[in-house]
Amino acid sequence: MIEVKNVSFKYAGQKNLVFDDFSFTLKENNIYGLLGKNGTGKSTLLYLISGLLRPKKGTVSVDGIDAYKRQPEMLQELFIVPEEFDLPAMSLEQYVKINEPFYPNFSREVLEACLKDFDLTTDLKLNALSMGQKKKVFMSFALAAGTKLLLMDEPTNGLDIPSKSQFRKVVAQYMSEEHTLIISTHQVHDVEALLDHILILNQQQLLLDASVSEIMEKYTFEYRMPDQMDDALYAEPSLQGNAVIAPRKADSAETQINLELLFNAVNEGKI
Amino acid sequence: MIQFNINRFGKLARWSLTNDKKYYTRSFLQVFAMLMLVFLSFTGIIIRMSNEAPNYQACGVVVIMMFAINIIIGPSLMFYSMTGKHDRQSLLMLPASNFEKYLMRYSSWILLLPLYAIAFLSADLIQYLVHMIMGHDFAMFVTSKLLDYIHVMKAIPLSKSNWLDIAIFLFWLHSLYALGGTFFRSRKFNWVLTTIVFIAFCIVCMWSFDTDIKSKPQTWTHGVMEALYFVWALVNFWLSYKLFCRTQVIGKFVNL
Repeated sequence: MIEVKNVSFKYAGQKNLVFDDFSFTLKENNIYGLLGKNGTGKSTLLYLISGLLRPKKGTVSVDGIDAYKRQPEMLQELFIVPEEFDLPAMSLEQYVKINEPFYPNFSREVLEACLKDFDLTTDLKLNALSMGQKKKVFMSFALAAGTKLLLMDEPTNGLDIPSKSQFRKVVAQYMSEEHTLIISTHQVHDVEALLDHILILNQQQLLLDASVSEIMEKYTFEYRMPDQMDDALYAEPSLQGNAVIAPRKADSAETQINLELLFNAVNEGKI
Repeated sequence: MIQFNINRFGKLARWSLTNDKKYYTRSFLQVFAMLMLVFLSFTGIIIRMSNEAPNYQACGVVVIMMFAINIIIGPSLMFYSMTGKHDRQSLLMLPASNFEKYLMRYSSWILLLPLYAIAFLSADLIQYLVHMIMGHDFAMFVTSKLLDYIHVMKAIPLSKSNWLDIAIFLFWLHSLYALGGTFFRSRKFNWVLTTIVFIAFCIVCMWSFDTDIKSKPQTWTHGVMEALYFVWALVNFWLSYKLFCRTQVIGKFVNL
């Protein structure tokens, strides 16, 4: 569905390339977690996929259409929730009225349900909302748009603690099978329960591109005492003992992924 | 490939007009206030200061200049209603074709014309009422002076070919501002930058033309020159559209 092929990209006026001959493919109907340290190009990658940026070399295509062309057929199946955005000074009703006709699968029911889950009403003035509330409204609109591909850049930034769990609930509830969601974040705890597939990005390369089931099949994530560290691939001290990633034994049960641990292990080259 | 769908363009027009309502209202009020000030100054305050007759002619000239300037530099205002990266992002991600979006942006100056006309008529009416209330005998409408100008223009002894020259030149100039509008789209006063580039270009041309005359015989016929300027204007519009298609959401200066 999304094909990034030999892409090189750098921002105007900057010396260093953000991507150099970078390639990967994303299949449909998954929730991808795009993880990486600050400045590794997560947002840039989302902008390249949405066509808001154009690669210097290589191609980025969505369903076979070059993203940079921003053709309406592609755009009506793609929605991006950037980390920073602004909503116009109008009522939500008016905003929906002028934007809804562009999205053939738009659902008012989903919008109302999402807003309800976020503890928001439908009679809102968009310019009177806080940044967190704006984000919730925009994410509700994005989910209601019913596009095949939804990109979210740091969706939990600016949300308070209850809103973060509301976000997880809303995404889990309204992201149906035939949709693909890419969540770019460095706040791994906020999204770890949602993800089907994990991509870890570092300077110009994809350090990890694996499904959650593959990871859970290969590794075990557990807390161990110092004398149980023989087969540990990576460990971090914690209050409960050492948080450990180790190869999973054939007869052992699957464990829940500790995404932060996995992220650190991958970044340190232990996995 | 250029895509255009009238139904989608209708949706885009509605989207743009709703989003830009504030901009159109502000532009209307600015022009209304400016014209009222000009009309009252030329017909009221100035005569009180210098005991001269109310200068309705000057008011007419100001109105004609305002409309003429708006028609020429209008396309450079195509991104004026958009403030910054977020607005650009919203527009670029809207499911409509680049051509539809460009056309809608380009049309923003055309949409301003009827608003300016209403602002002018309202300001004219107000200056008339003010003078009526103050009991001035000379009270008249600037509109009537404008109609006089139309008669004067009709009487100008210019051939059809001369009018065509003027029209093509203005079309060419207009296209330059369309190009400047997209090239300097992230600049606030991009019409100033375009004007500076245009003046610099004129100086260079005059200088080269001067040397050309000395070295080469003038072989260009009038018709060829007209055609050349017309084609050049079309190329400017094409370049302007292409620049719009290449717009990225993050970039520096010319933002290509």
